[in-house]
Amino acid sequence: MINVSELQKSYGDLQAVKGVSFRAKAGTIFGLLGPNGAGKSTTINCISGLIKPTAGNIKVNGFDIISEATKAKQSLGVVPQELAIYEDLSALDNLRYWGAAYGLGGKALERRVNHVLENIGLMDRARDLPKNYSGGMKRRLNFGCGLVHEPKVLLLDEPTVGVDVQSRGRLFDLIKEERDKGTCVLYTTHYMEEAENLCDELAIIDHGKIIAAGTLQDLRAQVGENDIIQLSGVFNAKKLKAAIAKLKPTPEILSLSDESLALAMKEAARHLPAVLKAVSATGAEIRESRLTEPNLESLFLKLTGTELRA
Amino acid sequence: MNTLQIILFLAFHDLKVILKERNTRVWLFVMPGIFFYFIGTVTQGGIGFPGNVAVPILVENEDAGYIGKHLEARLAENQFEIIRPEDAPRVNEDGEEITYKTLNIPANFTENILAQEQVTLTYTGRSAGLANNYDLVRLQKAAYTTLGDIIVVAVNLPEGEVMSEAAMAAMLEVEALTTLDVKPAGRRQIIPSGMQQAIPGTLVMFTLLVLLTSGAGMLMFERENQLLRRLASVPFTRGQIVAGKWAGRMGLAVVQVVVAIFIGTILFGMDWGHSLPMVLVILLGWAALCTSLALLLGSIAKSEGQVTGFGVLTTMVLAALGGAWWPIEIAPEWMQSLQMFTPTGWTMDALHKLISFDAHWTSALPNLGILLLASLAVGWLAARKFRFI
Ligand SMILES: Nc1ncnc2c1ncn2[C@@H]1O[C@H](COP(=O)(O)OP(=O)(O)OP(=O)(O)O)[C@@H](O)[C@H]1O
Ligand SMILES: [Mg+2]
Repeated sequence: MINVSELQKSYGDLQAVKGVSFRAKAGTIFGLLGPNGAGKSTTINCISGLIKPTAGNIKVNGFDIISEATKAKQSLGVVPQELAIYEDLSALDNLRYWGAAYGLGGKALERRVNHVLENIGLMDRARDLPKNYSGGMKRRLNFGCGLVHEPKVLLLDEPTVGVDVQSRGRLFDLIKEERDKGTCVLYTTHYMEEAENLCDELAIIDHGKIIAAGTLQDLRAQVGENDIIQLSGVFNAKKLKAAIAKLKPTPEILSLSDESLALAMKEAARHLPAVLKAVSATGAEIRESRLTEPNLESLFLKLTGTELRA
Repeated sequence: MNTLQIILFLAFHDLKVILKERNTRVWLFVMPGIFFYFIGTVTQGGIGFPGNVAVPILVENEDAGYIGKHLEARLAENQFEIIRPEDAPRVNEDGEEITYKTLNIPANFTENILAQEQVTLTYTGRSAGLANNYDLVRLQKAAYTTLGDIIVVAVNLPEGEVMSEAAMAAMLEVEALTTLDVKPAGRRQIIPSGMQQAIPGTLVMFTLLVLLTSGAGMLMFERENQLLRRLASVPFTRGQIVAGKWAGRMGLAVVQVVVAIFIGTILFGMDWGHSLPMVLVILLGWAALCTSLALLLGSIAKSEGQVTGFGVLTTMVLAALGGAWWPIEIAPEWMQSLQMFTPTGWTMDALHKLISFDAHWTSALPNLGILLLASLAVGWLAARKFRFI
């Protein structure tokens, strides 16, 4: 349903997206996971036709977003990262407006508006003006406006930022409901947990490039069975490197500096005391240690040497 | 939805959102009436044309000669009612002290002039305000006319003779040569003042003001609040969206024009002349141009503050130069020649022709043509500059 190939977007000298390709199918939630500035919003904005790609092409429901824009947009629903609602129109009027813009009307529109209001938990505040809403309520309305018209393709750009846990659960239900109806959902986030819980397929994006892609299982397999040990403190990188090389089994060094160290190894919990002892022996001062089981975070760390949230 | 439906859909939505704004409603529905009253009253009788009420002025004439008296006569011609210090009551009926506008004509006024020495007239008036400015203009006119009379008499003086009182007095009888005499084309031949000028002028100014502030500001607001961004993903073409945005603002302009005409007619008894349909057509042309300007400003401005600042400034300058505040016929000549370069001027000129000078409706066709051409040109530029982010 979404077909992105060799997408590039530059802002002057800055290459925000450097050749991204992926395919998101109907009835799946496709996650685009990456840290701040990775190029997620840029990618979404290209798909929604808001900005013109520098190179590459994009098809939505089989239509080119540039040359067959209105046909492509017919299938599209967008939830932008920033709030995009009329704060001086009630939630009801906001939803009605965006629904009507896609040609919904009469009873069908009312039914759909009510359903969305219910699911974004704003039924009892439907007639109030959003300017009097809390931040999270505004976000929920922003979310609702993107899917009143039951789009075939739904683009969600970090829709849950600032939404509390319960409401987030409800939004997830709504997204899954759309997916089960056959909607293709593209979901960007920098929350690894969200991606793991919600997405059927994933692409990890960093510095404008996709560094890993596949189903959750595919990606887990890429991490392997290695746990991740992260240490921070005051280190002597040279001495540490030598000390770690002598350890049996020998951990893989993911990143190493004078302040931090990241290692990957099997059954790290069992080997942690030995690792700590070896590190201490180099005269290092350990301030913090963390052990993580294989997950997307550790995959990201493994692929980029930096933390996802950094 | 077909294209027309899409344009109307967007236009009605925009109009609804714009009218939700309290400030806009106040400017749209309340302010025109207040301005009609204010400007209409201030300029009434202040311009010095037949039918206006004379303004009292206390003249302390210490001059022993005849030129002081001559000046008094010229003042009286310029709608001043001359009061002598000895006749002037100090207090009014309520016992409050009266402050007069006072003109002092110094002793030796005549003597000094004849000796070609400098003389000073001292005028003490109210500090500021439009009415005061008109007083000053008329006062100066009287003084310069007197000066002109002296020059004319002096130039025509036979060799060896001195200026006489009789020769000066004769000047009062002849058509003045030095006054700025305005002879507008048309039948009524009366430069509009009071409500006849204030209502069309204010209407023209307000349409531009509301469009350049609320009309343009709304577009800016929608962009800053990511609403245009969302609109960009809706299956409308760029052309449809621009047309819808234009139509919504045109709706706003039409509301302003209709409200102002209504208030002017009902509350102030405005007489729109014999070509009301053409007056309406001219106002629609003006509304279209304001709309295009609003769309352009909303597309090129960087912030809402910039929109308001630029909108208000542009409106004030164009209103002043175009003759929306005072009849352009009384403005200095350089200003009159500038009028024809301003869109407000094209509109005011057409309205004056139709309303005050009772000209045939076809005489406003060139004005209409240029208004429509300008709307198209500015609209085209605005469409090119239109941006979603
Ligand atoms: N309009 C713009 N002009 C210049 N640079 C831009 C513009 N928009 C984005 N960028 C740059 O492009 C890069 C990618 O930005 P983008 O918004 O796509 O990141 P993101 O993955 O959505 O990040 P976040 O999680 O913070 O939303 C960043 O370096 C950003 O500074
Ligand atoms: Mg983003």
